[in-house]
Amino acid sequence: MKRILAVALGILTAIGGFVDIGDLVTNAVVGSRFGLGLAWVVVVGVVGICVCASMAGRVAAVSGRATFEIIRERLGPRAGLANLTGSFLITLLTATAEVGGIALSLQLATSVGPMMWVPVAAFGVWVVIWRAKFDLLENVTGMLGLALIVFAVALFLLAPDWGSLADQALTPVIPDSEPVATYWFFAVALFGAAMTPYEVFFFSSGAIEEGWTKSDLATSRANVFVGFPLGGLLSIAIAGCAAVVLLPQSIAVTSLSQIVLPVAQAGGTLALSFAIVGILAATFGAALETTLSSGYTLAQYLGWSWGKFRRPARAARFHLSMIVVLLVAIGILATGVDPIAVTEISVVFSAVALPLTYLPILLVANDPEYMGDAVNGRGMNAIAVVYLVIILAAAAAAIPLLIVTGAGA
Amino acid sequence: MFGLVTGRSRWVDGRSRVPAVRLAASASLLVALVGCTAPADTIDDAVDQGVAATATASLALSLDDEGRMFRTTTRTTVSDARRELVDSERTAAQVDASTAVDAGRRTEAMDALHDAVLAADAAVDALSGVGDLGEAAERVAEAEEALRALTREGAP
Repeated sequence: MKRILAVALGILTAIGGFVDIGDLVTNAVVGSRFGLGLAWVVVVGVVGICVCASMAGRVAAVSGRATFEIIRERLGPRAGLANLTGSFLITLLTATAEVGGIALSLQLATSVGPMMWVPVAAFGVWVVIWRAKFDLLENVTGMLGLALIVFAVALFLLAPDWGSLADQALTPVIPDSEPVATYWFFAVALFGAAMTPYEVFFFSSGAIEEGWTKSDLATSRANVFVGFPLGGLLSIAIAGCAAVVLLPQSIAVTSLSQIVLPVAQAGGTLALSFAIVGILAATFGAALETTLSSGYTLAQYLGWSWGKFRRPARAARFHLSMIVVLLVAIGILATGVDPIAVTEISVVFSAVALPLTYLPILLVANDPEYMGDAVNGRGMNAIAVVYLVIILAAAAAAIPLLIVTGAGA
Repeated sequence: MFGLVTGRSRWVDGRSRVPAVRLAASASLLVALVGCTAPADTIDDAVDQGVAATATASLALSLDDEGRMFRTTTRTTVSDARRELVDSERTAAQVDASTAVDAGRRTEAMDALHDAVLAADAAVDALSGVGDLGEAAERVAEAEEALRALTREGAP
């Protein structure tokens, strides 16, 4: 019974924790401009993150070591450093976007400008990282993030033409008003949002934090293969709400406040309350994860003592690096840059940096020295190689598409 | 063709990377040029942005009127819409018209966008208790209609 509860909690946390500011914004933007014409990318992205996270979880559980420790050892210090630089910068950018997202969601509840909330949000993130236990911070934000299910409920309450939505999703067509390059730009952005590198660092480091062993692999698989796809359905529901309410009125999403309009239309203030709580929890949870991931990557590469399971005094550099990350995030947001713009850029560069995370994990998952008899099977490798090709294609196309489309303008 | 072949052999030999650099620079220039837009397109984009912003404000105000939104959320939404309108007005103002038609279209767009900014200002004020909210909502709706008439679809 205890085990079933643990699995259920893990799945619920994975659903609630799947959506972050990148998923929220990108899905809503895509829904408001292309309907469900890019829902297939969410499916591709969710399968991809399942493949990547399951390998990373298995590597951590079997070897007892986290991603960046192994990357440095397996690729050598130089290649490892290049990898660290790319991954760390993207995670820092994502952390900035998440802190901005917290500020924007607090603005929705109070109408006080986001600049006032940024320091408060960063302080809140730091306090929780400093004081709360790992499983508590993961489970509470994940469970509160489940409030985002209100987007799925809202979609039903809006009573859309389901046939038309299914048609958009199953036979995608690029609208006449949108250039082909823009469609593919958002495809890459959506893919980057679903497969953000920090999710893998957090997942594998979390496995060490929670002391996973081989016997925990079944729970890990359930979390990944049930929780993430259900989280992906939430993403599609967000896009669906935008497609039903915003697209017909030519409202292309550019701010967080527009994302909640369909929910308010469908369910009034009660539904809106759930949406705001869900967005706040999702961004706060992701801010915790990205900040921790920044600390994890640095500490694991540099061989510092790390982990929430240690008292802060015993992992001083790990905690100090996270404080610096939060200060840098405040600094970036203090320039007045729009957090939504930071989010849009971060998901695109996530796609660029994805091979840096994915390839080493794939290599290690196939290395019997680390994995013993738990190396990837043939089936897993076949899927993993297909995804390697997709990830490389997305990474190569991301920056040219960013320039050609003016960031999807 | 020959240059490319020669370039490839040099690349392989590792003696010179100049052709590869040239190729990369040419590709970047091509990408940058493709990224440039014509004045008419920029004006159209500014108008589309204006339509999206006014439609957002209209929707938020009507939901607020029906009691489906918190006042704080409505104020945030309309303020965001106003920021978008100011941005689109600035975009239109910065267009260098190369023909009289472009110049005329820019003037029309700027007039409509300016009216929309004023309407959004009135709505934000009314949400804070200064002025009549119903009247402000009507002005926003009129501004939206005027902007829609200027879009590619709405143009006569």
